[in-house]
Amino acid sequence: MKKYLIIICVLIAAVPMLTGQVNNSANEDKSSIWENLKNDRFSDKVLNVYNNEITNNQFRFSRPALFEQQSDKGSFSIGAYAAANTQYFVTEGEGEGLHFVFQNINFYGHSSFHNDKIKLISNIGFDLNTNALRIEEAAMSIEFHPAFQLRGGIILPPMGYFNQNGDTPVSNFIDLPMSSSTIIPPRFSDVGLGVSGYVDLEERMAITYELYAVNGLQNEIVDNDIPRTAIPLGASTNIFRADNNSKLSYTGRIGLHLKSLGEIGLSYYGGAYNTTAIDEIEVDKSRSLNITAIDGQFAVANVLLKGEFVLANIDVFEGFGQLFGDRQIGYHLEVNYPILTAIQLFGNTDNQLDVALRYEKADYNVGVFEQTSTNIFDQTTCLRLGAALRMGSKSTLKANYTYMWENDILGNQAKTGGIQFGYATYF
Amino acid sequence: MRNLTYYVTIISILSVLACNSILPGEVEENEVLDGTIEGLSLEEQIHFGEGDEAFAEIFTSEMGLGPIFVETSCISCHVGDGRGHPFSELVRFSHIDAQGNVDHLESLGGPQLQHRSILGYDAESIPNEANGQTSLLGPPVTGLGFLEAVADEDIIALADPDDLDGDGISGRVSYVFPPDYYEPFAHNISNNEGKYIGRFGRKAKAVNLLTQSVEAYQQDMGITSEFQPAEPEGSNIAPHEPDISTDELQAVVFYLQTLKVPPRRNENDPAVLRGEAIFTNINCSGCHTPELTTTDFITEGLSNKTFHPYTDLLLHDMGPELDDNYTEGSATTAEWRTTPLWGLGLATDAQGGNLFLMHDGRARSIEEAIEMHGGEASNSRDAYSALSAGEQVDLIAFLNSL
Repeated sequence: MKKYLIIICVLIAAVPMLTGQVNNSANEDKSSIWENLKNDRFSDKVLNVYNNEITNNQFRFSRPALFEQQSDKGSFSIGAYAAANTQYFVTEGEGEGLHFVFQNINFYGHSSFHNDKIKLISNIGFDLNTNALRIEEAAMSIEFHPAFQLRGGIILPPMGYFNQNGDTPVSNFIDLPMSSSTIIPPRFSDVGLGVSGYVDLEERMAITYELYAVNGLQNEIVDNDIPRTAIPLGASTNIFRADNNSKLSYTGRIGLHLKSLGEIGLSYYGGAYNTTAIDEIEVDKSRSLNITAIDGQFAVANVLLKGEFVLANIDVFEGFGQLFGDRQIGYHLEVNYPILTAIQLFGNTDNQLDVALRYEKADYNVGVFEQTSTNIFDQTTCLRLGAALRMGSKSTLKANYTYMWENDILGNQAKTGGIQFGYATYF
Repeated sequence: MRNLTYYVTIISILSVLACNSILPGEVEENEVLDGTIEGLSLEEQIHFGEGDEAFAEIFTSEMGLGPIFVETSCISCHVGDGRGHPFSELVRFSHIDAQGNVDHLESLGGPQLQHRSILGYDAESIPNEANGQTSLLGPPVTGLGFLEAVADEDIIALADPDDLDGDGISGRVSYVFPPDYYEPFAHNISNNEGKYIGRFGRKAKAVNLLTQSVEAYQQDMGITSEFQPAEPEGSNIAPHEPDISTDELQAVVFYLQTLKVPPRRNENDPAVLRGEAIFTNINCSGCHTPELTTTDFITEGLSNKTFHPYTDLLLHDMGPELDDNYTEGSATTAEWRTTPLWGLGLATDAQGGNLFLMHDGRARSIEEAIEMHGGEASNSRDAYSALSAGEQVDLIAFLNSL
């Protein structure tokens, strides 16, 4: 899979450059697409949610900024976003009580110089798992050509849509989709080096690509106390994302961007994840995992559709038996619709009220039991309803209702429901 | 702005209403196995909670799991404190020679197969030398304190090893040598060989809940304790500090002792009452004794109580139908301790909506389980087959009410 991805990405980058079909200026391109989108009668909200930049890859360079300075030679901006909520969840009648959750706070800075050809991006977020500040992104990007940019440092692997575009103010929902948070690691970052770019095929269509080599995931995918194959636990918590097995992993995404309509993307992550030797004593053979995702975001008649399908195959140590799944599948489908637009609020009319619906499922152990030939469950199905008051492009007040059906590995089911109220805002 | 207020108000009202009407309601108390016996003091309830937490604890290699193991927690084999699933079955093997001598093949990793392992170790497989093996599902763990509190003399009184009453049922007491650390309760009496009554486990090998728990920690999870400091046979690991503390182990034992008895449902339903009468008439109750009484025990809630486990805690020959050519304790290969029937109606709640009955889950329905009874239960099985369809339905209704 990764070989084909590399070949495709190289072809995408090389052909337009050789044939001279790429635009000379990225800024000009962005501007024209912006106009195209606006002319397609979408509300500003749809543009913001969809993304007001040209590609998945570029979204993070155009977030609202607390401070921004531009010159002929480059730009500098800093900003942040935060999210918190209060929630009340009940499982089979037993609640954890009404309580507050501080979801995240993330500080980011962008700068560019040499006529925007060299860009620096950094993100520092508060890691809820380690209760520590964490460098989520610290990368330099050199644009040799819009179709060929070199990027290295601590990067966000382009797995699915949400890993690079999971800013909480963007979504009408408080929680990330399960496929993007329990199969694909949430806010997953790694040390790596790679290339990216975009190529206009015609006026209203572009192809984007990203391809990186990274250090990779680690043993905790299966060496954990859940016990379940948990890919997110394999994401390194080391500040420098130290490698554990001297083998690189590879990740990439190809997106077909239909301007003023949406984007569909195919992404991949794969490589060895386990430690094979301790103190030069071999403890296991090299084992790899492969994650493939198809994501799509489309805006049609003011309805914003988002969806993602994720398939993960994991080479699990035979000794664990079927306790740890060797295949996981997750998907979600989301519909967002603005029921009120141009709401007068605090002297502005740039506000709207959205309603949203998300259906999602994650199966953490696909297969059948050897002993009984009955289905291995360990899966969760979830329905979420949301209402969000979007105040401009920066702040969102959200109300979510969740109903969840959780099956343990044997299939015993527990139902959970919950109400959440929260905010998410850039500042 | 007016529209916004309108929508926000509607959403707020719906949200508040939703809290009560569309959040999952509490499961009826008689539909769940978890819960304490009545009469525990606050201190005992805290101790119960500690045991509950320890029972659900998932072990990792850092915590001492393995190196070879079957499951990673107690609750994996006793989901919701209920009946186990074939996925977490315990496989045991041995070699029995022509003279009937049993070799549990300890040098080859026996008697229990640890078919899973942590990284860097090889899981076990059944050696070629084994000529018999059995699979055992974890039993429900509710009400065990009541079974532990039955006086030995009451169990002995139920035995009829020579079938003197001529009903075809000849239950006998399982006398076993307990481990060195065993300390008998006041109501435990040894026989003239120094053996004590085994009452727990499918073959009635364990004399009390402490020895059963110690064995399960070590054999099922590779978790060592003060009482059993060695790793499972075949682990090849040097002795080390116990993986769990004695306090934690004792908390789990107290939890098992003070879990409530499985609740009845629909016990006054006419069909259930008819089924209960049939249960007695065809002499299922000859082994599945409906009523036992406890003696003075560790807490008031367990002392001098009459309860309804539907077991006599005795060994019965179940015939070739259930003979796996494997045994332990004092049971023969065809002998099994009478399984308590309480909680039977809630079995599917722990088995993923399916039903896996008998010692290895071979029966997929109560009807199948009855048909699989042999040996001393043959008469009752045949009597069941001779019942009318309606009577069979009533009997099943009764069993599902347990």
